[in-house]
Amino acid sequence: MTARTTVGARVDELQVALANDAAFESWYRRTLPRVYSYLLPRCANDAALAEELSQQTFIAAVERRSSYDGRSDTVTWLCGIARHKLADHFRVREREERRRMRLQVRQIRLEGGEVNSPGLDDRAAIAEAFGSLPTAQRAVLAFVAFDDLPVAEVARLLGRSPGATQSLLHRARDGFRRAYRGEQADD
Amino acid sequence: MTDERVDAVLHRLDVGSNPDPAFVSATLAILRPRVRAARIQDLSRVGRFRRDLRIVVDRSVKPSVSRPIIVLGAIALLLLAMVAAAVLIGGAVKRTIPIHNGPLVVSIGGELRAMDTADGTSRPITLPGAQAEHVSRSPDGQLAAYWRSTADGDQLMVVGLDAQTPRRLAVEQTIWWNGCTDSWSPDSRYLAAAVIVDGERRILVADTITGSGSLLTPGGTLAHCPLYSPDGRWIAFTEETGSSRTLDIIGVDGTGMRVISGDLGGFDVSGPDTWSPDGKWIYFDAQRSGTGRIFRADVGRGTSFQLTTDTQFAVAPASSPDGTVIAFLVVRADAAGFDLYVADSDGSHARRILEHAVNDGWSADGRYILTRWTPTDQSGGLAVISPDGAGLRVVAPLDQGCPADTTQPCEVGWGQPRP
Repeated sequence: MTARTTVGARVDELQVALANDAAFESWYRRTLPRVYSYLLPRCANDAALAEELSQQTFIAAVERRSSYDGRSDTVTWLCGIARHKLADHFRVREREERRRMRLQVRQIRLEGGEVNSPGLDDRAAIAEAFGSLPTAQRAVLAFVAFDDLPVAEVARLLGRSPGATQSLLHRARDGFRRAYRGEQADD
Repeated sequence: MTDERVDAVLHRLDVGSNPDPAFVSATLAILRPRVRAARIQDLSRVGRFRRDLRIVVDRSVKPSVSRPIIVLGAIALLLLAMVAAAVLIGGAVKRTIPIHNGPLVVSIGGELRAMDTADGTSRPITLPGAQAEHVSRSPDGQLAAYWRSTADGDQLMVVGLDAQTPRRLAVEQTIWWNGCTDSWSPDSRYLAAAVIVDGERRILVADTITGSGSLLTPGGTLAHCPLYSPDGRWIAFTEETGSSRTLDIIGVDGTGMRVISGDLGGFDVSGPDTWSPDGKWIYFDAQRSGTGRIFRADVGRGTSFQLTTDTQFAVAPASSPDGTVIAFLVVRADAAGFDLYVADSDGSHARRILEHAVNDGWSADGRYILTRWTPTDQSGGLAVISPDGAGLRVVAPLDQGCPADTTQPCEVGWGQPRP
C-alpha cells in the first residue's frame, strides 16, 4: 500500500511539474544539473555534447511523459532516457567512423608504471584519455565503468552480442590503461 | 592497473557539474512551448483517457515477475476492443485526426465562443452582446482576452474559457486599442497590449490575476505591437519615429530598451511577428514603396537579415514553435489576395503550400498552420493545413470569426502569436 501511494505521488510529481510554466521551470532547474552531471563524464567532459544530449533528453521526456510510471523518481527516469540518448549518440558516431574508414592511430606510450595517487585527481588527463578511445570502446566503458551495468544490458543498449561486448570491454579497458599512462607520462 | 582500478579511475570524472546558465535558459525556452502543447494535449479527452488507462493498469496489476505478461495481455485485449470499436464505428463516421492544441477562441457577432478545431463545434464563453473584438487566447488555453469599445474609451477584458464572468483589466487607465493583436506572457499571466493613452502610443502590461495595468514604454516613444519573448523577460515592439519604424526590445521591468532591427535599407518595420523559441531571432516584415520583405533580427547583435527575395511582396511571418520553419504570405501576382508559403527558418527552400490563404499562426504543437482560405472556385473558410501542404481541412465557414474580406483580420486566438 505504501509502495502504491509512493508511485501515485511520483506520477503526481511529474504531472505537477508539467501543470504550469512556473512549476515546470522549477522542476527543470532542479533536475537539469543532475542529468547534465550524468552525461558530462560519459561524454569525456565534452560540454557541448553533454548539453546537446541533455536537451534531447528533456525534449524526449516531455514527448514520452506517459511512459513515466512513478516507479523511480523523475531524475532516475530522466537519466534512463539520457542513457538511451547517449547510446544512440555512440552508435551514430561509430557508424560515421566506420563509414569514413578513418583509423585513428594513437601514439600511446606502452611504458609506464602503476598510476600514482596524485594522478588520480587529474580529471582532465582522465577525460582526455577516455576521450581518445574509439567511440565503441568509449561507449562500453561509459555504461560498464560509470553505470555498473551488466555486460548483457550494455550489449542490448549498443545492439551487439554479449560476447562481442565483453571483448570490446576488454579492449576498452586496455586502451584506457595505455592512454592514461601516456597522459601521465606526458605530464 | 586492474580492471577494477580502471573503472575506479574513470569514476573520478563522475562529479557534479553545473551547466552553462545560457544553455539552461536557451533550453528552457525551447521546452516551454512543447510543455504547453503537452499540457493542452493532456487536458483533451484522448489525453485524459490515456492517463486514466495508465492509472487503472497501475492499480490493477501488482508488481510481480508475471507483470509484463499480464500487462501485455491487457494491452492486447484493449487493442482488440479498440479495433472492434473502430470497425463498428468506422463505416458510419468519417474519421478525423484529432487536434490537441486546445480550443480556438473566436468572436462571432461579438459573442466569444470556444471552438473545437477537430469538428468545428463551439460553445459560448460570453453572453451574446459582449461586443468582443480583437480576440486572443492564453498559451495555456485557460483564458481569453478581448476588447470592448465604449464612448469613454476601450476596455480590455479577460474571461476564463469555462465561461466565468468577464473581468476588466487596467481599470485605472483610460485607454484606446491601438490596432495590434495582444501578446500573452509565456506563463499566461500577463497581457501586453498596444494602447493610446493621453494621445500617446504606449505598451500596456496588464496582470490578469490582480487586474492592474501599467505602462511599460516611456512617454515620448511611439510604441506599437508588443510581443513577449519566449522566456517572458523581454517585449519586442515597433517604435515609430518621424521618418521610420524600427524593431525594438524592452525588458519587462522597463529597462534595456534598444533598437535591434539595424539597417533595413529604407524598409519600415510593420511589427514583430514571432520570436524563435530560443529567443535568438525575431521574425518580422518590413515595407517600402508598396512592397514588403520578411526579415529576421538577431536580437543579440542588433542586425537583421532579409529572408525573402526581392521579387516577392512578402508579409506576416510566423515561426513554427520548434523554430525550424516559418510560414508567411506572398501577395499574388494578380494582386488578388495572398498565397501561403513556408520556408526553412533562414528563408531557404521557400515553397507555396496554399493559394488564396492568409496566415493566422501555428498550433502549439507545430503540426498545423491556421489559415483563412478563400479559394475562387469553392467556399473556403477558416482552415488548418500541415506545413508540408497536406491535410487542408476547413474547420469553420467564413464569417464564423473570419470575414471573407482578407484585408480584415480574423477574430480568432489559438494561444500562439498571430502575424
